[in-house]
Amino acid sequence: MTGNDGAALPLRNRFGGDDLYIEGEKVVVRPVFDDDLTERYLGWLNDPEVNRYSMRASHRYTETEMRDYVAAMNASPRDMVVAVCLKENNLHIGNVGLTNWEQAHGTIEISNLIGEKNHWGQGVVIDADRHIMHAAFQCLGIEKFVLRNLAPHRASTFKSRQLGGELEGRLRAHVVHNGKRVDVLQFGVMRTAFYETFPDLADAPSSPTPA
Amino acid sequence: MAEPEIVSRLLAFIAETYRTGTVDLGPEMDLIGSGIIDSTGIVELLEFVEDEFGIAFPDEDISPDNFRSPAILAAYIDRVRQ
Repeated sequence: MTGNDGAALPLRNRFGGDDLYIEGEKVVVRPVFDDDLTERYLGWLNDPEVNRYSMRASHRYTETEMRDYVAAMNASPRDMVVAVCLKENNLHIGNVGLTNWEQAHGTIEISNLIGEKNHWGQGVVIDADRHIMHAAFQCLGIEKFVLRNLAPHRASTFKSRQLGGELEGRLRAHVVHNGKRVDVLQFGVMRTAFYETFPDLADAPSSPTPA
Repeated sequence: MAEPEIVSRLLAFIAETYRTGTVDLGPEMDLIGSGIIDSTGIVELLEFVEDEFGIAFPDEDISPDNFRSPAILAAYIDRVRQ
């Protein structure tokens, strides 16, 4: 049981659909379109450095798998994937996944993949996440975001805390990473903690589509 | 090592590692809000602190609260080393 009613309606249709456009300070967030499913995107999925701390790091993706993944996410009532693009030139640099939406409980998971490595270290993830989360708190009835990362991925741990997350759990020796079993950390970002962390957004209107 | 010396070493590392732009280098400089250090940049600082001062950050302490400025980070390092 998912706790969702109207289960056939894709989540993306409830959150902007094809008109999704969320503007941050450095990036804009929009749907992933067929034109985005390029060799460059496939390269991100198979780049060992990009996926160093990914739970799917050892899998090598084919173009068909990439297309099937995006199609499945776009059709899912509980999941969606969106494109993160630079505001200055619209370059698609990565994606954000929203997964396992539980409408009855107001929870959803958020995860990132920034494939263009020359844009690491520039605050684009926080910019994208905080504006997506703000829109989802306002428009999807989310009360709590869940974030998970491998314990050795300390950048991700820091990011979760930057977003107002509290460490809620440690799944001990939960996955195999580089031949060793490692812990997975789970963080929760409650609505109140998020707006205490980002007071500039507390009274800001938000919509997943342009006003 | 006294806290002011910890601050000095942190400032030297920050100056040579990150783009500080127009932010004045000093103990109270805003490392996070200014964008000097983000979630990617934090890893280099963590590794430097652990190597330089012989401490290990538990996952629970990898938080912006401990990295907001060189002075705050130095106080954390000093506290952990005691």
